[in-house]
Amino acid sequence: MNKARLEKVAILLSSVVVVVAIIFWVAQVGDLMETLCLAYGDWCFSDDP
Amino acid sequence: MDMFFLFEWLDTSMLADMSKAYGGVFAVVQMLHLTALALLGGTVLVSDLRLLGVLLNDVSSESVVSNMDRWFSVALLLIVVSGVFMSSAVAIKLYYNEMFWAKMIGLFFGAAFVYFIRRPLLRHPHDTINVWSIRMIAISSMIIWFTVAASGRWIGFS
Repeated sequence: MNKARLEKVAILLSSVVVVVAIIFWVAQVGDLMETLCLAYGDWCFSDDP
Repeated sequence: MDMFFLFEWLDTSMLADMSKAYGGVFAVVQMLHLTALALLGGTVLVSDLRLLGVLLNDVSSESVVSNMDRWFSVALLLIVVSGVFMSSAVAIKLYYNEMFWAKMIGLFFGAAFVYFIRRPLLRHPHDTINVWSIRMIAISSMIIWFTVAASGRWIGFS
């Protein structure tokens, strides 16, 4: 692949990676917080009734 | 493509017998896996932050990237070899683990991105490459390898 094409592919693929990664981590954020909470303490649960 | 047969084979292989029977061997291999992951993360951070102009600005980016590339390949090889050994101990469990697949997709995509896009492009003198291509490569590279490491850590919690 020549340089000009590589540059275009790099920008396109990198943009896709950034968007997919943001969607992936935003979709996982609830599970992530719960997992971290269960693993490292109960700081995300409130004691208030 | 259903890859269950591969995990079934791995679960009954000699590798699995060894990883399940000898906790000490497993621990040493796990230590190698984590060390290699730290090395890979270090090479990614140094070369990508240099490409973004954040650090080592008194050294040419070509020099930093080519030095880091060697260690990246060593780290990736170590990660894959030790990872196969470690996964043999819990092969069937991993097959049903979503985060394991997220890590594998990230790993294969990241390796393909490095060897087929990033390296061929960065072989050219960096000052002749479109600056946005370099920036996007650096940002996406850090995101990919962060996702691989974070989803790998998450396997342990799920």
